[in-house]
This record gives sequence, structure tokens and C-alpha cells, in this order.
Amino acid sequence: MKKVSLVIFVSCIFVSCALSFTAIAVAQENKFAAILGGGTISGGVQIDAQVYQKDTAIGAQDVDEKFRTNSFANIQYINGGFSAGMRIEAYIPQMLGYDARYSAKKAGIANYFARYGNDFVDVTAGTFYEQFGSGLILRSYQDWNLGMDNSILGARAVVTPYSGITLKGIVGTERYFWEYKGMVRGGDMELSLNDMITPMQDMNTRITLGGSFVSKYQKSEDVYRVDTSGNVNVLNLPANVASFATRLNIESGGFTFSGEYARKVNDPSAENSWTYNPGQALLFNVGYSMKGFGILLSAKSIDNMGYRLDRNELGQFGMINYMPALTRQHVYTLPSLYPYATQPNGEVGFQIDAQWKTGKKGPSFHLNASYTGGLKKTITDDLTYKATPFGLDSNIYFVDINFDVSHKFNKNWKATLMYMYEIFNQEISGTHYGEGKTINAHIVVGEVTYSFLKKHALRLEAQYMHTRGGEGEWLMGTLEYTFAPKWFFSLSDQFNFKNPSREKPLHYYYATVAFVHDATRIALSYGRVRQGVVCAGGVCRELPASNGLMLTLTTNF
Amino acid sequence: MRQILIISISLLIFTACDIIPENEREKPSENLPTWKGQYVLLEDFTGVRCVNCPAAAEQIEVLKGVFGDKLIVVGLHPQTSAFNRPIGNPDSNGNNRDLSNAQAEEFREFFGIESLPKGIIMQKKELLEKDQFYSEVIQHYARNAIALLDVSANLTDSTVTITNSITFTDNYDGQGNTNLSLIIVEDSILVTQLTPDGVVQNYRQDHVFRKMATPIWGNQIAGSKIAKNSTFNYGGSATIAGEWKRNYLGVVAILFDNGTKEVIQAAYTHIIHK
Repeated sequence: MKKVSLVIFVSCIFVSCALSFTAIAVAQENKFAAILGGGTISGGVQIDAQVYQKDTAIGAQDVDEKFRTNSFANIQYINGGFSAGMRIEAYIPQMLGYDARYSAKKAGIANYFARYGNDFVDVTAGTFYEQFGSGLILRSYQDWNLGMDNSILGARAVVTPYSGITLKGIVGTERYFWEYKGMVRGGDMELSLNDMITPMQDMNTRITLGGSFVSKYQKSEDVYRVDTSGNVNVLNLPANVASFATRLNIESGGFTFSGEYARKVNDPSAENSWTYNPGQALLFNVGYSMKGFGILLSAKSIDNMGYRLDRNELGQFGMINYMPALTRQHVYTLPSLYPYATQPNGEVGFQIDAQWKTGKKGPSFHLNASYTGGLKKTITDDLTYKATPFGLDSNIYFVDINFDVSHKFNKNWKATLMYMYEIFNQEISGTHYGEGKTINAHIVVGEVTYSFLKKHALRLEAQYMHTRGGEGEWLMGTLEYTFAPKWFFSLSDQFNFKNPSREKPLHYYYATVAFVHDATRIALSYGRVRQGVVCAGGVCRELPASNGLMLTLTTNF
Repeated sequence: MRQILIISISLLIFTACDIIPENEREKPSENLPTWKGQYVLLEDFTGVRCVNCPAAAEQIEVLKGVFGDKLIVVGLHPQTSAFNRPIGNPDSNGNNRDLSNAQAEEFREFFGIESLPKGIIMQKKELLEKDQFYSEVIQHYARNAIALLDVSANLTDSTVTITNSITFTDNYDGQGNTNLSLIIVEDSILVTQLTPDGVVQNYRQDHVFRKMATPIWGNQIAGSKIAKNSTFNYGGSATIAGEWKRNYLGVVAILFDNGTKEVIQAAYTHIIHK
């Protein structure tokens, strides 16, 4: 009897303790939830790291610091209309091909903000990203692969006073590596006529009008220009440079039209050789789509539209705006070997893109052709010139004509075949791949994927490039094995031969293993990387030749 | 309310914009300031495959016309193969046209130069485009020199013998020790160069960095604090390579603060070939 009582007593103690601990845990959780107020925390981490080894055959130099890493961590708290967050970045030191100015500070808080929004207003204090229209006068964005981040530190407000009317205002200073430089301010208004005008609300045709202005400020300075006679002159530079843009979008049934015009007042800079010409840009897109078919025609004319925080800056940094490259972003390696970078001083471009499918189970076809050439300019004096929008000169900057067909034969077999013809002007892009001012290339790509046993897939890819000018010929083979959802293996080799600058042919072998678990991906790669450029949307970063082990880890929570 | 909004927006637009009338865009610069003994060092990072580098070289030649021998130029060809792998076939003499070297590459890495052309003036860690050269050169040109630097060099067989004398004309207080480095340069090297007009044979490269006659960051000759009227003498020597043209060689002497690497004084002399 006594033993039973003891057991009951001890059990009661255990149960009481368990209940107490549970109560404490629930209380803590409630306290934590109370602190968070029911909000959520999310974020992500990415770590890119590489160990570099010397490889004279491909021009990979020996570096003192052989282990280099670029990393970031994002964290964001959202609770109803309120959000706040930050991003920490670390370059210890920066990986090769990324600007060394990132390593001036090994690690730090790159971005931080607090934001509140409701149906009427949305305000942000801290760092933010913004784009007006197509970005022709303002685009602030981040691209980790390009090493590009021109976030704005300041204040942003978006007001929706009436249905269909959106007003935006921004003021701040732009990120320049670990500093903030210059001053930029602007506003945008977008009118959705169908939401504003009652009779138009039920119309199939939707019309949107927009207008924006941006102004930058940089203190005027003495810039000396030495003319060809050796006379030294001082330029009178504008401290405030404004730009304006207007846009129209129309959607009706399967048809779409978008047009944008942008203008910038005099903005003498190192990029435009200190011209006092205003800048202007025109961008048009006309498209039609229906089930099984889509076509898009695009045209642009860019004249002196480089718009930067610092009039002395060149390269990819310090840009306030963005000019799209009307070229296809290729996913295969050899078609991406010679990508086009937008020329803000002047270019005219056209693109046609058409896709169609023959029946539900038939093959898919894709035809794309783009042409970019120089803008014709007539010099009037040392500081000005005349140019007409869409006035082409005889210089071909870039041509890309490509056609591909894809077909899923059955649940196991899928294949793609592609042909591409490219003309790449090295003189304009400032690159130096082998010999010749222009590279003409014919490229063929074939890809076959075999899926089996429900989660397994084998993909074989073969590419061939024949060039006139440039680096000779390329042959590339890739074999990939995927064991979904967790494992991925890849082996590839880019073989360069008949290169007039090299005595012997060269192999660029590369192997990758990747593991995925929920929202985390870890990839380990080893091999040679060819010297080249990495581009996205016409903005490019140089990539030096390298050889070594590379690790990439990404996770989101 | 509507009128206030329209006026506010109009004011905002028009006050945020400077349009310079045609007759106010530029004016002749004042005469060069009086030279007070300061030589200006310009290090031009360049390459035979750098399409835009000839434009920077032209700008430098114009500046040499303006500043004369007060502007001392060194052309560095880093080893980044993208910019400096020799173009075309060897010349008929079979001479080495590869102007790049590992020491120039060290300087490129130190200054964090990722694209060419770039200029460094007085070894200040500020990367300059060609249009910025003049503004920076004239600022240093107008400074009072606090040291006089004399250099002479003689070549016998393959050995260059260099002598330097340094006199501080004022008290000096630097951040680091005071060092002297010596660079052998060569003029009139004909190479194949990539230009905006295409590949040009027999393009002339001047003041090309050949080698250091001292370690990369020189040798210490004094501490960080130097009294007025202090004098120092320093001698050095170097061996020159067979293919260098003996009558076109020179020595650039650089006196600098080893803490900041910034130049105190520079000097150039032609190497006398005996």
C-alpha cells in the first residue's frame, strides 16, 4: 500500500513538473510571440568561396590570398504592414573578378530599412531599391553574381490617393561599395485609366500612363580639358542634372504595346567625353500572344544616357539608371561566350522573339533575332554633336540570330536542338578575345534528357562553336545526373582548339556535386574557368581565368 | 490645393536642373602656377591589348607638352593576360615583345586596378581616368617641394650603376619610414598594339617599366621624421636584359613615405651608356 502511495506521489510530482515546464515553455513562447507580436522572421544566407591555384596554361595567376569568399546574410521581420530588415555582407577578401573596393571593409551591414505600408501609403526609411518604368532614368537594384548593388539610402514614399493613381517619391544617396555617394531625388506617377475612369473599368483594353523625373546632385568641380592644340580649358559643370521620362502601356486581348521616352539635360562626364549634349532614349515593345503562339518586337534608341552619381566614374558602378540590352539571355555556355554590354553613349537596337508550339504534344519552336548598331553622330564642335533617334551608322555592334526546337517524346525522353549565328564587335565592347575587331560565330547545341525510375534524370549536352576571329573553335560536352530532390552531379569539358594565340589546344574541365535539403543547397565544384565576362541584361562583370575548388552554400528560412 | 501641388512640382523640377548656356561651357585656364621644385610622378597602367590605352597615352603626351620634364611618367604593363598577351607574330629580330612583368603585376594588385587604362599620380591610392590626369597633376605641380632629389646612372656592359643624393629643404613628418625606389624604364619600344582602329604594327611605347633596381617598395633611407637640410646619399645597381635598347634606357627615382606609399619627390635621368 505504501509502495503504491509512493508511486502515485512520485508520479504526481513528475506530472506536476511536466505540467509546470510545459506552462513555462508556453509562457516563453507566448512572451516571444508577444514580443514579435505575431510577426514573422525570414531571411537567407549565401556563401561563395573559392580556393585559387596557379594555372599558367589558362592565364590563371598566382594570388597571395588563395582562399577568398563573398558572403551575405539577409534577415527580415514582417508584422502586418510593418517590416524591417538588414543585410550583412562579408568579403574576406573578395573573390577574383569582383571589385577590390569591396574588401576595403571585410564585413559590415550593407543594407538596413524600416517600412510601413497600408492601402493608402507605403513608406520606407533606410536602404531601398526602386525602378521607374523600364529603368531608363532610375533603377536601383542588386545582382549578387554581378557584384552590383546601387541601393539608395534615404526615404521612399508610395501613395495611392485614389484607385488607379500611384505616386512615388524618393530621396537619398546611392550605395558605392561601403560608402554612400552623391544625392538623388525623384518622383513617379502612374495612372491606370481603367481603374480611374468608371466607363473603362469593364473594357478589355487596359491603358496605363506614367511619368517620372529624377535629379542628381554632385558639387561642381574644376575639370580641365586639354584640346588637341595643347590649350588648357576649364569646364563649367552642372551640379544638378535632371532627367524625365514618360511611358504608355496598352493591353488589349492578346496584343500588348509599351513605349517609353526618356530625356536627360546636359551631363558632361568622363563617360561621354564631356559633351554638353542632352541625352535621350526611346524604347518600344509590341507583342501578341495566344494559346500556342507568342511574338514580341522590340526597338530602342539610346543617345548619351549614361547617368551616374559621379561624373568621373566609368564601368558598371555608380549607375543611377539602366538601359536594357535587346538580346536574348542564353542559358547554354558557348552561346553566352561573347555577351553584349549596353553602350550608354549611343546605340540602336531591334529584336524579334517568337515562340510557338504545334499541338498539345508537339514540339516547341523558338526564333529570336537581334541587331544592335551604332548611333550616327555628326560632330558640331568639341563639346556637342547632332544625332537623330534610330539613326543607324555603319558600325555593327552585335547580331544574334538563333533558332531552337524542343520536344518531349514521351515521359522519359526530351531533346532540344539549337543553332545560333553571332557577330560580336570587340572594339566596342572593349574586350580582347583572341584576334580581330569582330568575331563571327556559328554555334550548334544539342541536348537530350532521359528521366527514369521516377526521380532520376540523365542529361547530355553537346555544343560546338566555329569562329572567324576570336579564339578559334570550341567543343563542349556536359553530362549531368540528377537524383531528385537531393543530389546533382555534373561533369563538363570546354575544349578550345585552332586558337591562333595558342600553340596547343586547351581543356577547361569542370565537375560539380550539389546536395539539396529543404531550402538549403550546397554545391562543390572543381575545375578551370575560362577568362571572360558575366552579363545580365546588358550589365557585365569581368571574370578572370581561375582554377580551383569552389563552394556555394545557399539557404532560406 | 491642386494649384499648390502643380506649382510645387514645377518648382521641384526646375530647381533640380542646371542647364549651361553654350557660351558658358568652358573658359581658358589660367597660366600654369609657378613651379616650386615639385616633380610629379604619373604611373600609367596600360597594355598592348587594351583598346582604350592609346587614348590615355595620347593624353599623357599632351600633358608632357604642357608640363615638360616636371612630369615623370612610368608605363606599367601588368601580367593580366587579357591586356598584355602579345599580339601577332614575333618581329623579324625575334625580340621579346612581352612588356608585362611580375613586378608591374604586384603594383596593379596593390592599387586594386581591375581595368585599364588607369593612372596613379604620386602613388596616391586613387584610380584616375585619363580625363582626370590634368586636374591631379596640376595640384601637385603647384606644391612646394620639401626635398630635392638628384639621380645619375651609368651603364657599363650589362650593369647600371645609380647614384642618388637627397636634400630635405624643410622639416618632414611622415606616417612611415622614408624609402627610395629605383625603376629602370625604356623608351621607343615598337610593339603590336590593339587600338580603336584595329591592330597597329610598330606602335611606339615609351617610358615602359622594365624592372626595379631596388625591392618593390624600395629601401629605407631614413625614418619618418627628417629635419630640414638633412642630406642622404644612396647608391644602387641593376643588370639589364640583352634585348633592351641601351640608348633608350632611363632611371626613375621615387622618394616616398613607406606608410602611405605617397611620393615625396621624384626624379628621372637618362642612363648614360659608356
